[in-house]
Amino acid sequence: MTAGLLLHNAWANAPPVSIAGVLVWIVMRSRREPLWAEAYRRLGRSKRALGAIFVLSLCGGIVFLDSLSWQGSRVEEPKTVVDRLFDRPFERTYSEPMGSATVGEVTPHRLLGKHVFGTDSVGKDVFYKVLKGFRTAFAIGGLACLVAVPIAVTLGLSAGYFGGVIDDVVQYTYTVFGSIPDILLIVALVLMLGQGLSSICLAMGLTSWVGLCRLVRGETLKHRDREYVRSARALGASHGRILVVHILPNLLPVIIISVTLLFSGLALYETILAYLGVGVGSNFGSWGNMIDSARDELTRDPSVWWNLAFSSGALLVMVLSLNVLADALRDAIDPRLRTE
Amino acid sequence: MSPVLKVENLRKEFRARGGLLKSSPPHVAVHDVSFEVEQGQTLALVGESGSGKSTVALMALGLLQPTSGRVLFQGRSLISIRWRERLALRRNIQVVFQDPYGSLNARMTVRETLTEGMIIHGIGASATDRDARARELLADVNMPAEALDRYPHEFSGGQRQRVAIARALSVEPTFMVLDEPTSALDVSVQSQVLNLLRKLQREHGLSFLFITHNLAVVEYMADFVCVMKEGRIVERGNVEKIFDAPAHEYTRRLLRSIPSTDPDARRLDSRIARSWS
Amino acid sequence: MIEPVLDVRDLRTYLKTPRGTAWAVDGVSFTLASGKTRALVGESGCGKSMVALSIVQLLPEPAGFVDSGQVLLEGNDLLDLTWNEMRAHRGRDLAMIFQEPMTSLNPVFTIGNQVAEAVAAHGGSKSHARRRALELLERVGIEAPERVHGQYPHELSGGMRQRAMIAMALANRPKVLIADEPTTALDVTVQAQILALIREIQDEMGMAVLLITHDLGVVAEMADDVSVMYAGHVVESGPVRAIFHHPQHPYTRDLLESLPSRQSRGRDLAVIEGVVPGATDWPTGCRYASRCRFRVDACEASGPPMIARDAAEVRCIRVDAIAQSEATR
Repeated sequence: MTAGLLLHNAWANAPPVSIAGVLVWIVMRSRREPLWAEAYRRLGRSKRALGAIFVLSLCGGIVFLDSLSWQGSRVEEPKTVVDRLFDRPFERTYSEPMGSATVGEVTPHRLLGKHVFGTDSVGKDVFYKVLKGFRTAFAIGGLACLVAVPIAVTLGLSAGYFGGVIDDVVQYTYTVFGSIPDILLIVALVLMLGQGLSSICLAMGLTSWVGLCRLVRGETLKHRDREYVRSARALGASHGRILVVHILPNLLPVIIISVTLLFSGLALYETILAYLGVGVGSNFGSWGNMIDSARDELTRDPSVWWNLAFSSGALLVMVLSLNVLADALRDAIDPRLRTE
Repeated sequence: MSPVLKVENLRKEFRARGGLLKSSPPHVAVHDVSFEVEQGQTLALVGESGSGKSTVALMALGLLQPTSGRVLFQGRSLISIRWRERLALRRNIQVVFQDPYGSLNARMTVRETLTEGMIIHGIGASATDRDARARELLADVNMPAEALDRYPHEFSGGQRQRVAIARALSVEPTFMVLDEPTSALDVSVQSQVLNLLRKLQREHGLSFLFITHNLAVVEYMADFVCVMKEGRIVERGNVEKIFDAPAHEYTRRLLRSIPSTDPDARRLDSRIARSWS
Repeated sequence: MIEPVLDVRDLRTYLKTPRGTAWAVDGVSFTLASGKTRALVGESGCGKSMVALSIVQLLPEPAGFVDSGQVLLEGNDLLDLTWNEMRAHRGRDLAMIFQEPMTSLNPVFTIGNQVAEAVAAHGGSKSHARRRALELLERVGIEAPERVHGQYPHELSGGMRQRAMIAMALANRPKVLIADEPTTALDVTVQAQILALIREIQDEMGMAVLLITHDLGVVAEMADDVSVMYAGHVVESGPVRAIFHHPQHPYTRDLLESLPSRQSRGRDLAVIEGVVPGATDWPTGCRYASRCRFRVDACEASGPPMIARDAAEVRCIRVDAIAQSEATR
């Protein structure tokens, strides 16, 4: 590998590594604060929470490994760690999990390799597809949140803090957005913007900020008239300072819990979109596509169930862990349990 | 000598957020309140719930816009002046609230709480300098320096109130509004805080607007008293006059209601058991 | 001597907390005579509210337990009773009113409904309950009982709500009324009315009142006997005049001296240095020793017993020495 290629590979891997690094740093730093230190301690005592965190760490690990990629030489496609570890030779067509021959053909052929979860219609290893699906799910959830959260927080803070006309405008806006069924809006946006990962994330982000915005507005209203905010204003703090230094940190717990739930909801949405045909497109490994293919596959003879089963299983595991974590976080953070 | 704080004809109306239907008439919390506080003095604003005293305090601090009337601090109006001037004026009037649990940001250390005002107003040349000032402030309120790295929930109510007082002092004010500063504290802690306030008043030449419903504290701390009822000042005067020769019926009723601390001189009698509230 | 209607003997109550066992009430004894008022006075954390909750057995679950002692209501130990047996006493012989009427009243039922419910809890028809409810509302000084009968708690002022609570408490002519900070949340003029009302009703019904408060003024106005509590113990107990005019325990003295008044104008108030020890680790020896001006080594060695002096009882081994030094001042 030449030096230029090395540099190119390092550059390509910088984003995932730095994101992971930032997340770890945030968690480490937050331990100082009494609210989080107490919350972590409580989480550590709950078996359910630890289980959920473990599972999510595994998922996160898979995503991370699937984000580190490099090219062996200029002409090769960059391949990720997951690719290198789990990719298998293509078979001719379907095969059952742990099967030894293809199914659904007039004459079954012997398999070239071991496929724990079976293969799909083009002979691709299902286990491999499931693993690749993690990254898609996380990407969609993560990027869509990245769009939705800033919108929700900015609008919610402004509406709650400044009140008056701003509050009215924000409320009318989210009432309108909230009354249109999300799916319709997302589909319309995706068709407008063209299919693809980025347009889906954008569309989802633009439609799912409503719930969080309401929450942020409510919490801001609660805190706005608290005496510590009044004291800060008496000291001479500007509105911006109060919002960012005083109110926002107090909103973080509820934001985090909401985002956890939002994340899982968005990952679920992707499968619906795939079913409707406006998903990420078949060149991306995604659980949505796998589930979508079940439409035809289940009615085959013999019925091909493994595509559906394992992708839904992975989705279930991820969504369940996220929800359990959100619940546990809520209990851990509850300020009523603090020493007072 | 011109008074440090002068409020003239303050009026505050609150209207319910109007809907499409005709909204109800606005609620008048403060009718027509005027008073002055001289340098180095303590004016007590006395009243029960609904009297409007806390609303007046917020207007004096410039945290609430009066519907009409003016607040003049050292001769200058707090309202409708440019932000930079208002910031400079802000420094001079600080506040200590009643609830020692709610008035400190639970997520900020004591150091951050005490240095925030310094950062906003540019007091102290560097972080080290601000830190040193924060230590001095803590010493001024009889708190140990170790408190700097702690969070509010690690302290008792009385200690938190002292931190709140230190915060108010951090910007070197000349005037302090104290809104029921000891009402949420135990008696034995109250005396510590009152002693502290008197000491600070002497040492820093502060003027106080002291809002309370506790008449024993008024007798102890105040020079002048304004008695408020339902948004109006019903009686005013220096503290001896108010307590020895109250003129207004409401003042007399208030004084009659204070339980005495001498079992041989009981004041309550069954005539006041009949309801009028 | 007449039998006391309520006799609490060596009551011990603890709470299980994440930081260990907190002995909130650690050997408290007092008596309550019919028609008289005893005040349990102390600052936050002294255990006075826990005493009340222990008597009526409404300790916070699952953490609070009565460990030992006796609570004799006209000779019957309440602590021996089952839940159902205790229920028969609650509301009938033993009534309780709390500090925050807003949280003690159910916001979705009318006042009349709740008072009638209190009446009906111990028998009687619905129409009887309704009539009695109106009578009670009038008795507690509510001017328009018909109107208030149909109102909801949030429509009333604090004073009115507290009156409604008193009406509920009186529904079945209790022998003992336990009032836990009944006027702390009220304006001073309203407080005066409520206290006067309680006294009036007490005189009329011969009810015994256990008044729990931190306000020494309320104590002076209302009490016949006083028990001063600190850190789970009663540190001084006696008739109200003795307590106020000749306080003997250092804590009682310090407390009275730290009250602001016109007399102390211009001077510093007396201050009690230090803080109350945490309930999970009471110190051995006298619990006030760390803050006491008169402390000697022997004070911290073992917990002082109650010593009888001049019509009062004082939990202090230095009571005579202190009295002497004060006399020669």
